[in-house]
Amino acid sequence: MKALIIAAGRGSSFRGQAPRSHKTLIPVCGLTVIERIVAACPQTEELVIVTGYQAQELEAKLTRILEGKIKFTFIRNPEWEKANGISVLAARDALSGEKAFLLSMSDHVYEPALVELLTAEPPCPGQCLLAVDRNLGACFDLNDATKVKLDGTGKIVNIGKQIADFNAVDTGVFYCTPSIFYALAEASSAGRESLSDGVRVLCRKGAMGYRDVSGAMWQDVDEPDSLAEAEKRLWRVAVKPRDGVVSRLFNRKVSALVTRLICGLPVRPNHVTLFNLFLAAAASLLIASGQFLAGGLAAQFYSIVDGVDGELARLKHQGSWFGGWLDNVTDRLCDWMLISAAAWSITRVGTGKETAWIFMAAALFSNILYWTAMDSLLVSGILRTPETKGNFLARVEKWFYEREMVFGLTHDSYLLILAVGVALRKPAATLAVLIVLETFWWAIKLIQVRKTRPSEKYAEFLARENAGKAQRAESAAL
Amino acid sequence: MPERLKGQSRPLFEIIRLLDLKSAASVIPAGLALLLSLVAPAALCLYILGRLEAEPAIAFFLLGWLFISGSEFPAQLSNGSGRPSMSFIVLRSLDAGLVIALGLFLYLERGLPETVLAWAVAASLTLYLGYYSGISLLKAVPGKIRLAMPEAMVAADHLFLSRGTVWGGEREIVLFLSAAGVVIGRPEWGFAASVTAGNLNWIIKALNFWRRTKKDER
Repeated sequence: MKALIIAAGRGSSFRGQAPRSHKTLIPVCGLTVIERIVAACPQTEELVIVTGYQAQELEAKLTRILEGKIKFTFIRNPEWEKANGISVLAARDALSGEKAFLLSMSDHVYEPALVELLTAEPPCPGQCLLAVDRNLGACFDLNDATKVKLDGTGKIVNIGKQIADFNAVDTGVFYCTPSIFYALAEASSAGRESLSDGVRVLCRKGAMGYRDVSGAMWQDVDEPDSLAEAEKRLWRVAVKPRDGVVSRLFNRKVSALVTRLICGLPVRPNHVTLFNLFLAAAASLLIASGQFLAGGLAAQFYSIVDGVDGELARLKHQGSWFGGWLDNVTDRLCDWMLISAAAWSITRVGTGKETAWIFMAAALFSNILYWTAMDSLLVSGILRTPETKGNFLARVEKWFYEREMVFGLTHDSYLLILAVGVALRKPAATLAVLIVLETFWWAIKLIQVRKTRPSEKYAEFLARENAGKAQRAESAAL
Repeated sequence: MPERLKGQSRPLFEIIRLLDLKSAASVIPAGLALLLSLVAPAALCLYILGRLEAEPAIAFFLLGWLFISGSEFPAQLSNGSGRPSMSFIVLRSLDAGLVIALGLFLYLERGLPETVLAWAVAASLTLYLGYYSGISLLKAVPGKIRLAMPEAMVAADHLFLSRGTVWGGEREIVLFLSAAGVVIGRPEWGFAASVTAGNLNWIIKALNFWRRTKKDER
């Protein structure tokens, strides 16, 4: 699918603040607006960008940003000073052969969920769709917004900035067929040259539909205030949907500050993940050398920074499967370094090496056992689709779940106990507590899932597997 | 499904391919597996009867355990029981526990230097890391892929549960080399070799995996 981006205008609202920059080049939480548009449209294979004002300079800058990321072509609109419908019309030849394409303003940021909702089903031939937000209360600047009047049958009946009767706002993203060009040409021949004029032509013909994307994040960046609002909204999306209790109540508040500091720098989430390894090593060295308070604080700081890579990945659309894998593996390595250091530090409080070694072996073994239990439950699908009965623990878990928290011995709470215990110069007691908690928690979880029925899919899978095995055995026997 | 998402799902299909290969390669004839598995109880009996020294008894026990646990027996335990996790917890904890216990025995009972125990702990962690780096691939599946192709996801999850490893070889390397070290009377060499070979095994296989799939992963 192709996407048409309208970037021909002067971006006058921002002129005072950012005279050298087109609105689409403005960085929002570390990514330019155009980069955010590309990231939000993963289905898009090619961008068609209409330029006009300072076209050469803008094209050069966009080329530097987009090269290697996505295929793109520029179309110049010599009449860029006219309304934005003329810019859309300028792309007519490039897109008239397409069944459907996305059309986006170049100064809007939105999340992929919005585009997913909009493109869930293609528009009917001759029809166009507009992503609309019915949550008027959440609109940042309703006076400046393009308002939309929806009927009850999935059609738009009117659109414009000045209309009095409206029940939604335009998000600046369309899913179009080439019919938009005919509508714009018709409007233009009557002297009405804005995109809204073309949309009104389609409205009159009953060919302008909508998709309700209320709840999905979007914001135009017309002026400094709306830019600040866009950043605020992106931060809300970047927060992990569910977290451990310690993370949600404390760690995230600090890690958000760190992420804010570095999101404008060319730092990728995987860099942060690897940095965490050094941070945990430094904390371990401090603990092992008997600097308990500094070591405990460093361990807690590592726990906080452990959330930064994920925040950065969500904020800058840089999440990857490899990154998730690397994060998991380094988490275990960091845990083991800290556990070993805490066990070794027992020798610094007047206990023999033999005791320290026994504690180290026991704590590491317990950690391995804990994660084996948790991960095997996760992979077996039981934790992914919990079907637990309404026992007390399930009710407690549900209470936390509804408050976007995960109850239990999560990584953040484990590290907090370790950090506090070490800072209080009680490494042996801390490791003993952690061993007991780990054993208690995985045992509880296993008892809990004893009552859990395997999912239907798992039963189907097993049936297929067993049939395959029987078939193999038969072939081998023959 | 969007074209780009198809590209991003490549690691999932690569995992399924790897696990399928494992299934075809890991079948030991049942009779041979049973025979080799008897090494463990036999070594234990001979040690109790005083016919075998502790070190070779431990080594044979480790090898016997490797054959028992490498057969299809643990997978059969889980199939149909509705609790697929249990056999894995037993298997992994016994793997790690046996190696750590061996290190503790050599350090506390045999009076070998503490470096032997340190190597044993490292060998145990290596064994687990090989397994964990495999299961992490499934833990890290992006949400959009998980939602877009639930059938493939469930297949990958449960293929993993019935195979127990993505990379393969981590248990064999660590348990065999640790046992070999004990047999030749240089347990620290055995542990050190298992740490080196075990880590190289999963790191090289993981690098190859990501090299094969990375170009489509964003």
